[in-house]
Amino acid sequence: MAITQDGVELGVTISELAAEKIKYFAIKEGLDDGVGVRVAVKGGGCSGLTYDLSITNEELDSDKIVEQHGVKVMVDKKSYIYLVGTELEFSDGLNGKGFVFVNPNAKKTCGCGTSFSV
Amino acid sequence: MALQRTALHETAGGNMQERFGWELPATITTLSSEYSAATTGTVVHDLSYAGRLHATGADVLDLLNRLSTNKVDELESGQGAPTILTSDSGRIIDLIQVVNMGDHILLITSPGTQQTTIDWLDKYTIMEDLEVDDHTTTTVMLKLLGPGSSQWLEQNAGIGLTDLLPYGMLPAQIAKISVQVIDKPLGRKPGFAILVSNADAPALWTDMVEMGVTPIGTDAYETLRVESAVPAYGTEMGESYNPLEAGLIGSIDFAKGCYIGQEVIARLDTYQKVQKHLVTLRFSEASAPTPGLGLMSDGRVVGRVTSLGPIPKNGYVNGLGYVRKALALEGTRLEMESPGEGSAEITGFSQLFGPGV
Repeated sequence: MAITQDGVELGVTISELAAEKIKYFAIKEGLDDGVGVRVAVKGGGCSGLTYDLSITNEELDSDKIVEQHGVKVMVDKKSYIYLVGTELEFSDGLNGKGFVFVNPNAKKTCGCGTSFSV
Repeated sequence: MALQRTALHETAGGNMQERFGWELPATITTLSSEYSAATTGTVVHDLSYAGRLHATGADVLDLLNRLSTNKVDELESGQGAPTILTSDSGRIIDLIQVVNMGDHILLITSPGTQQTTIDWLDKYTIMEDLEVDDHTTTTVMLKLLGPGSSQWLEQNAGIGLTDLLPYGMLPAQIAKISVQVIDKPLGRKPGFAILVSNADAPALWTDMVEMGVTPIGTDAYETLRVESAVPAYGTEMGESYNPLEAGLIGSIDFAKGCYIGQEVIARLDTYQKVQKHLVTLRFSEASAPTPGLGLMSDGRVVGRVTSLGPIPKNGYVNGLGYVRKALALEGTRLEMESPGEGSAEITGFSQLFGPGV
């Protein structure tokens, strides 16, 4: 199932800085070809649902894939409905939070930002 | 809908009444003799009406750890723990005991809440490998209680209780019948759940009674529960209450990390924002308490009665209730809201109790 807006299929997008950080971690893990990040949702966290990120180059048949800034963003079918329209950003600096999810589906988000409810 | 019956319905007999959608014996002999045995010897109660779920799959413990208050992700075979499923506002969905049985994870729920627990787990299962089946009616679960219960098990089940970890499980045999013994205290009182197949349950029950264990019905069991300040689902637990109010702090791990409702519970604890506490109450002779009746101080309602013990102790009716924190102190006397009369004295404070403490 694809969710569209004005005829354009929505997916999970990634900012340039977040893409650079993904590449950095991918190289550290020994992956430099077809670098990708899997974005998923799991039950848990303070608000009920929590984000899960993993560096990978393994695609699943049911994945929704968007390639941006040289990084493949892979989202499984079940997580997709919670994440559609989400932008993955990176909050840098001493008090930065690291990877940050800007998720338009989240009605409530916990204090640390890693958990949400819809 | 027809009432459910346990596999011991015919064997145990007794004065049947409806409870939790089951036809259960309120008493098997007399309430006073059953209660007396429970406070001096060893008693057995057919607790098969409490929910039992079997969870299988690689992610069971990991998911439960993310959804509930206690640390359960590293439970090995034979180990167990009580934990509370909480909503994102930190309210109680149910208190469950999680036991790693080796080939599956057993979840013991409150009576009648097994479907609530299944639905809750299902709601938060997205990619996880997890299957949950209701086994409430496929086995019998006995509850062994009383000051003699530990010794009775050591002598008759061939197990050393030092090998039975808190809330854990040991396989055993009683009268040559294979059972699984689970540590399941009632508040601070020792208690054990004994799981047995439906087929073997009548013979086991008969043998245990012949071996001197007194069978008790739901009234004596309820009396013991109320005395022990153990909250029950529907009266003291549910989405109107948080675990700190219900005295379940022993089932919360404050260092384990995130779970649903963790932020709220941590804040309530850190800033001491708990509004009310579960207390044990002793009603004056003149009072006629009923569950739901208000408890008054200076003309204001400051609490409510939630449960009543079916048998008076030393002539006084005992009960449980929630009372505002400032007044939830041992010895505080509260008046009964009209049409009740007389007063209720707070005799205990459940905050220090709870599984795990």
